[in-house]
Amino acid sequence: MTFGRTMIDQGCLSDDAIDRELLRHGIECNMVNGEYSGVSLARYRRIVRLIADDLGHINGKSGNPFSRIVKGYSLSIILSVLWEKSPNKQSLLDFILAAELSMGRSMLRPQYSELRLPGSTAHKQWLQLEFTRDDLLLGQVHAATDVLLGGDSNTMRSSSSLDRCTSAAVWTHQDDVAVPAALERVACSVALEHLFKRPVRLGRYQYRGDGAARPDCVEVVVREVVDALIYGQFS
Amino acid sequence: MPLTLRSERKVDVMHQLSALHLRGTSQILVPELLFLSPAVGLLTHLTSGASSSSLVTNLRSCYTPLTQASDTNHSIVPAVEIAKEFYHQRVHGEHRRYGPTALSRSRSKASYWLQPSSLGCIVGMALSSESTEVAIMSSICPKNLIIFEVICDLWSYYD
Repeated sequence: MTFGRTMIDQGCLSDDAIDRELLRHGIECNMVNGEYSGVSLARYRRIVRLIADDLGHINGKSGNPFSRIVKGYSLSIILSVLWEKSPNKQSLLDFILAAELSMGRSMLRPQYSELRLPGSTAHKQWLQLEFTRDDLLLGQVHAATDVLLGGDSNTMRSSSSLDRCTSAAVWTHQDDVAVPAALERVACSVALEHLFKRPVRLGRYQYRGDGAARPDCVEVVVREVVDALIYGQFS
Repeated sequence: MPLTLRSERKVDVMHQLSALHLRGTSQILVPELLFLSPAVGLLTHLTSGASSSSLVTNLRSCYTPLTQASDTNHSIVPAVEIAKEFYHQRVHGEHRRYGPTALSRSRSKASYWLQPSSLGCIVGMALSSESTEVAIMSSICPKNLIIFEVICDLWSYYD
């Protein structure tokens, strides 16, 4: 599959170009895949431009230290939405393939080009790839964290300095394969840890809007105990 | 290869995606576009029960006076708008207690009608513009972004 510049070229996100791309995915004015939506194309264009605008600030004109590290919160949110809307692993691949088609640039490494062919051997094997519990042992996750943080992960976990993080995270050619694999392992491990609900946050409330706000410590403890009993955390 | 839009209405499809399926989703990507890995989305998502993504919640609660945008806050205004477009947060009671953020189910929002393939299309279009082209080639260090996502989440977890 060859990739040339799409109609959205010359750095111009024109309305017509965006509308044509959306039409390829069944999105028209007030209609989506033949179903009445009542949503105009302008709203979709707005989302595209917001993301482009967010990424356009990447070169960071301000002295904000975060601008050197985080490139586009909007992309993180979109990818988070992707997880909520994806029913299966194939949907994740659909996202990647649609993105590369619209972008006019290949997102897949050459050795995975067969994934573009549904039903191919590589495609089927990829769909069946998943972590097992043996792949997520503590030592392996720590090793993956070391790869991502480029050093002693124990020191990184105890440090609150973002400068240390940025200096440690140097992208090298040697990380070409190790970093994506480590990212997957760490993300999966963190996600599985969160399967059990997060701790209840302590709140401070007034009684009927009067008086000083007081913390709800006792309620939090009772809720945590009940949740632990329900979710079997004590077993 | 023609794009086929699958039947992806949430009510009709059984969700079979778990974190374990993350394997292989980042390794297939070219290094300079690793920031588009679904693993990054999972770290941001990490929704479980009544909890919600700290990033989304914090962005939604940002107050960004657009008329007084400076270099600092202007850079997050688009992200705030995106968070408000895709996510909803209920307000309870007379004391205005905020519930967890959840994906918006409002049919009058464009975000409701976007499915994985159309999301990819939108991201691709946004990334194809010239300003982002320069950004991709020169500024993005995917590893930094990934690490920041991990650390942000771990910090918020223990906050």
